Amino acid sequence: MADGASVVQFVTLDWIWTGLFIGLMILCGVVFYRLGKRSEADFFLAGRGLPWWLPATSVYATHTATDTPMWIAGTIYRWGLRGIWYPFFSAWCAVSPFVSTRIFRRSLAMSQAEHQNLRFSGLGAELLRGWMAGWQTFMNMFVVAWVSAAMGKICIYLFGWPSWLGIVLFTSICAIYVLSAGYWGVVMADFQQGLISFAVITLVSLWGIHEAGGAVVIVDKLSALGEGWRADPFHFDAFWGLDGNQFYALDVITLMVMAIFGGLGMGNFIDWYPEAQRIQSAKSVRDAAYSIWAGGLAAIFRNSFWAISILAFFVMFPGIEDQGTYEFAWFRLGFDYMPAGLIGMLFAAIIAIHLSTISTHLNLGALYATRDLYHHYVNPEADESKLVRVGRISTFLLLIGSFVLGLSMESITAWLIFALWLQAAGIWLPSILQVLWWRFNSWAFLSSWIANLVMSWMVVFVLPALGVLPALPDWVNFWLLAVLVSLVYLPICFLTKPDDMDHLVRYYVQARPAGFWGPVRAEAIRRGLVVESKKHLEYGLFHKEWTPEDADEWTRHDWIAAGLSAFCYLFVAIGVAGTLLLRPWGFVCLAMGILCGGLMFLVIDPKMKAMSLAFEAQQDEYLEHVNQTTRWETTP
Amino acid sequence: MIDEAIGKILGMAMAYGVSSMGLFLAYANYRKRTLKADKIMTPTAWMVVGITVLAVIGAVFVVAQLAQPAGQESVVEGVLEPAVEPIVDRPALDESAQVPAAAEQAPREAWPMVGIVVPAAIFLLATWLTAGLHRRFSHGGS
Repeated sequence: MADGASVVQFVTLDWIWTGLFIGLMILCGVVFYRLGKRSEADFFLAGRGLPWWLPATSVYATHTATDTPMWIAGTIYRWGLRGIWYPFFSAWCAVSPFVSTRIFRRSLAMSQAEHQNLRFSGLGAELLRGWMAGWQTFMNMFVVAWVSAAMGKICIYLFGWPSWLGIVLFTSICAIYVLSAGYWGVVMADFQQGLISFAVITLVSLWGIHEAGGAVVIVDKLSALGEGWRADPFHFDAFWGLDGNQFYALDVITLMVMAIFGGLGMGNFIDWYPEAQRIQSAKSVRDAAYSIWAGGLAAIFRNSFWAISILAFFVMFPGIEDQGTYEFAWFRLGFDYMPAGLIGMLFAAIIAIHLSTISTHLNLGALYATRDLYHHYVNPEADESKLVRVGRISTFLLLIGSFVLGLSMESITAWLIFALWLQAAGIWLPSILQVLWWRFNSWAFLSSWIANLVMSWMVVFVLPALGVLPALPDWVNFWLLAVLVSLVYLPICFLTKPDDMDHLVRYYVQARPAGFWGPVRAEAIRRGLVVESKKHLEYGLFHKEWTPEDADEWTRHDWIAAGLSAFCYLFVAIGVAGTLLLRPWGFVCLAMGILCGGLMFLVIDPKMKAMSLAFEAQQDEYLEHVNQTTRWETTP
Repeated sequence: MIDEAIGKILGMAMAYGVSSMGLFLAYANYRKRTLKADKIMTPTAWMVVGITVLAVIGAVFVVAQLAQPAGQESVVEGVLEPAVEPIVDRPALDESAQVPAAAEQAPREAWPMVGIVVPAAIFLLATWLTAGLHRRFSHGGS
């Protein structure tokens, strides 16, 4: 491969299928050109009117990038089936639909930056919005550069093309429909690309298992190799420790806590930002919740297929030590073993995965540049046609910027992607507190962002280099950063004033945040803006007739649904993997997962329906207030 | 290719530079639109900002130039070792590993029709769904 020669033989039939699928993907986006140009809300949120299954496929597509199969192949080949817990961070999508998704959808903020203006008040809120808008505009451009560079490497592997061709060609194809139809093109193409990639991932994985001799042979060969532990998702080397080459139970516990409790907050993970756009594009609170839930579950389901196919690869080729080799395991199962024609379709699926990621981040970066930087700060009086035009210009500039970075500054791009993950540690708890605690103010949140920058740099790089700290495993870094950053933002929170009560009451009445909002709620009730209802205390778990007032309250139904949802994700992750290995525990876990999902639906759906109907009746009025805030017609 | 350590510094500077620009826009707008302050920046303040921006751009340029000579050691090496293996820098597939080349593996001729039937089925389904989406959304919008 050093000479760049291709290892995969494409025949005419493969090229025909690749070309046809690419044409279909572009067509699917471009035909919605007319809808995308109608308004800013159409160009970035498809008019806020999508049924749940469209953003759900988009959520799934967002969670699937070109390098995801390499990452999962790397973890499973190295750690065995227990490596499945690394990508389990998607489980924030189990809890979020019933907590933060619901609250964010009700806020009607077009972006996470705009939400800062609605949740907080005064100069601090404005600074947070500006900071987040700049950060997101830039980071989305870098994600495009990073993913494009990964595509360039895949094209070197497949065809021996020069890197720049793989980077520029497919990202430019994607830009055709993102520039023309905006989010309408993104979400419609995502739907199609999500289905194609899901079908092909399933097919290739099953094909790989078949090539290895089937599930029984895989398990037998693992035992014969003395590697039977690889089929056990709960095999830990110890409960805890500091050796980065060991797999500890505490690694998994940390991941579980991060993922499941992270679902209470907004912005805990980088995935939140694109998903926030999908949440607002759904036509109701209920649709938004189910879109996140279903999209996340599809990603968990897919991970298990990938995991077992990598175990199949392991028994065929055990003992590979080079990470760069075994990370291509899933690709090799497809490209080396599937017949002509299917190889072309597999390549089309890889392009689908690539386009769905690129299109999302191009449009999302342009959203922050247009809505938050241009509309809010540069030209608040801009009309809709001008905003759409600025959206297209921003998309184009992000595209060009990503080319420049992807082609010339790979090390910078790699660092920034690391920075994105690193950010999760220090602002993990503040991202939850902004949702759950009324007293957590804008200065505390802003200081946590700034402090995290300094602390993460010190803990991960500077102090270990100076010998003050040893190089620590990920789980220790996470908790250490969480504690250190809290030493900054908690004092600042208590030393500065709470946000303006009028502002908080308005936010509370509209978004109905969960948690510790007692003083704000009491004030809202005193002003007659919230009707206190305790009838729900008498409702059974499967109560069907909810009044709007009761549906707006936080009840045990929400928390039970969130818990059932988390168990559903957990059992499905283990159950699908175990079922593919034909293990009895796999069938039992899968059945438990389906049962938890069904119960969750019965508990929460009647309440979600009632809440959505009541909120939709007032949505236009709330939306007008949000737009006035962006146009500076109300005091932020 | 820019040195890994310099890349980290440049990446940090760019990301936080743009975020700080957003912060500045926010502050300027808040002062202008909410506090109705006509002049939030004196000519001297503008001059300081301009000089600072030029200095930062110049520093970035100098650092980038310093990073160019191949094999030159970074002054911050050790402090800025790569924390994660960047995917773009990973070595391509090593053919000397135990994975056999494609030509030695399963005979593709064993499945002559699958390469036509399966992609055709998925393609037709995707086309039908595209038409359905267009029919449903292109007129009403939702």
